[in-house]
Amino acid sequence: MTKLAHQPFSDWLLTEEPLTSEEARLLQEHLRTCPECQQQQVALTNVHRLFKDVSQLVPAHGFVSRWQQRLADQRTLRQRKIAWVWFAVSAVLASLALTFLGYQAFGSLQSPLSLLAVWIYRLTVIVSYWNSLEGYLDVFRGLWPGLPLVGLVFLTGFTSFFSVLWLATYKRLRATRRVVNET
Amino acid sequence: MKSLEPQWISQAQKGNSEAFTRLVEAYQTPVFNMCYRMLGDPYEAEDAAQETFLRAYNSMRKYDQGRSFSTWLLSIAAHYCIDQIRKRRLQLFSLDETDYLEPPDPTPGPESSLSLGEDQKRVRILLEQLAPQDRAAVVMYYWYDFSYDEIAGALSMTMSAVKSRLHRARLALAQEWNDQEKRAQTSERRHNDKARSPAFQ
Repeated sequence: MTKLAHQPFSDWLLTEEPLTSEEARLLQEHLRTCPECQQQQVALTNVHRLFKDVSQLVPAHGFVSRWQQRLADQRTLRQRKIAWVWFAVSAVLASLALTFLGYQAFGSLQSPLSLLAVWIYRLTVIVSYWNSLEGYLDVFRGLWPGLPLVGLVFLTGFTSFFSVLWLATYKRLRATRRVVNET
Repeated sequence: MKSLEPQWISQAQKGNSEAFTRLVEAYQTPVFNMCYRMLGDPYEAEDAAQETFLRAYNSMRKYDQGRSFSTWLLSIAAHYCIDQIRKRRLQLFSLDETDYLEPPDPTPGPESSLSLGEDQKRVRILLEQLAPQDRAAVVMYYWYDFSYDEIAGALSMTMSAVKSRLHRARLALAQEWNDQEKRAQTSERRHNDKARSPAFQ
């Protein structure tokens, strides 16, 4: 029998749509004479029966706890990802700020002559102040009698001794004290 | 328990993971079963079911309460399994080139709780003959009693496409069933011939 001859009957066998009474009668007539379609009908019936009879499979014990663990792992991974994103963003922003700062600094270095002139001016001001300070010191020096060299050495020694003493006292005061309970 | 389901769903939509865990408890079997029917391997099915619940949890806010929760959940599972089958086909080329096998895991796996009888194996072989989307349509139709409309919604296709896929799948299943019968008859005949040969007497 040609494939075309089976066509409507094969389709009717495979469909789940209800057939009209006439279609059902024609199909039954065809099935009586066609072993191929008979075989297909038997196979389909067996497949349907097998699908209906086979039991539903259950997952291994502890599925829910494994899922909870997986959810926790996913959350940790997401938090780590967010932290990395923040780190990357802040690194990019810091680099941008540094670049901008470098650009600004480079801009100010573009005219070293003016900067040099300012520094020279400041140095001359400091020198002129020093000269005027020397004038004031001369007034004080005239008021006090001059110390001999030995006196200067002793004065330096005393100053050093008291400085060391002050440092030692300060350190002792800063040290934590043990509390002793006296009954 | 079903009466509490809407409550769990609305709480899970607000981000309550405890409420979603109740939904995992309630739907673990149908989702695992769907994944096993689609993938045919208990380890992959376990992984796919876990992933389905994670995806569902992450997109709970998108879930429309007017829709059936099980249809929505199984739709996620079906889409994930279809993707896995496609990926597996792509990986087959690279796996063929590797000349080693991973040692078997001695810890008890998901298959330990399954009684993979002859019927289960036969179902697996039958479903393996189908294209991923046809397989999903068949599983939804036969095991979950989904209507054509529900299958169309779950698999993002038209109703006529669902009908045509189911039609094609039934034809393939009937052919495979007949082939299995023929193979069984041939091997039985060979076995009988061997038993009757003088060398065995």
